[in-house]
Amino acid sequence: MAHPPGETKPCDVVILHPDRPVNLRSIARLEDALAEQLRHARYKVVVDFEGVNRMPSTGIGVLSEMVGLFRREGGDLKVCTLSYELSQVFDMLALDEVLNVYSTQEEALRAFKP
Amino acid sequence: MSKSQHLFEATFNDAYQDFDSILEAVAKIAAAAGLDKAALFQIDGAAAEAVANIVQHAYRGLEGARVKLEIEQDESGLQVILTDWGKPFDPSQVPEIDVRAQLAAGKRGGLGLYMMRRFVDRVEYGTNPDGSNFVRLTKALPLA
Repeated sequence: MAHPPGETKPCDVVILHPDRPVNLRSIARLEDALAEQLRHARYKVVVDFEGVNRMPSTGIGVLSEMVGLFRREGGDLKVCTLSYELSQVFDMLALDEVLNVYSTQEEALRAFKP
Repeated sequence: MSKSQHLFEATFNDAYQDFDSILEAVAKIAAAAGLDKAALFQIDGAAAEAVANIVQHAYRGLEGARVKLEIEQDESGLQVILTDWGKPFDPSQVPEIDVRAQLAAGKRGGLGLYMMRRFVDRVEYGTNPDGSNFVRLTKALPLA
C-alpha cells in the first residue's frame, strides 16, 4: 500500500507530507505512514503541512493519539508549515499544547538536534 | 417563515470516495453566494466534519455511504444540508467534552461536533419523514 512520500533527514528524522486535498483517504494514509515509522523504530517524525488547508477532526485525533506513542519511545511527532487556515484549527483546539509546532521544516528539524 | 432559495442538489453514492467532490460543490456554491475567504474555510470545515461523521458513524465506515447534498439560502444564511440513510445521530447523546483534556489524553471522538459548532452559526440534526437523517449547517451571509 502506498503511503505519503516520506524522506529521511540527518538525525534520522522522517518528514511526511499529507496528500492534498486532505480527505478521509489521505488521513488514513497518514495514519498508516505514522504507524509504519513506529514499526521501523523511527521515532523522530515531522509532518509538514505545507499547502494543506483542511484538517478534519479525524486527522486531529490521529495526530493527538500518535504523538504520545512517539514520545513514549523517546522521540516526537512535530508539525510544521501550517497554513493560515490550519493555524486557526490548531488555535481553536489549543493543539500547540499537545504538539510541537514550527513555522518551517528547518526549525522542526533543528528542534530534534541534541 | 422565510422563503428558501434552492441553490444546489446532488446525490453521491459513496461519501468516502466522493468526499472531495462534495466539498468542492459546497465551496463553489458558497463562494457564489458571497461568503468571504474566512467563512468559506469555516463552511468547508463544518461540511468536512459532517461528511466524515456520516461515513464513520452513520455508515460505520462501510462502502456505499449514500449522501444527498442540498444547498439553500434564506434570510438566516447559507444552509448546507446533508442527508444519509444510515444510523441516526442524536447530538444530545454526545456529552460535552473538555477539548484540551481530550487531546492531551490522546483520545479521539467528540471533536467533530465541537468543531462544526465553532465553524458555523447553527448545526441541526434530525430525521426526515422517510426515515432518512439530515444535518443542516447554517452559515450567516455577510450583510449586503
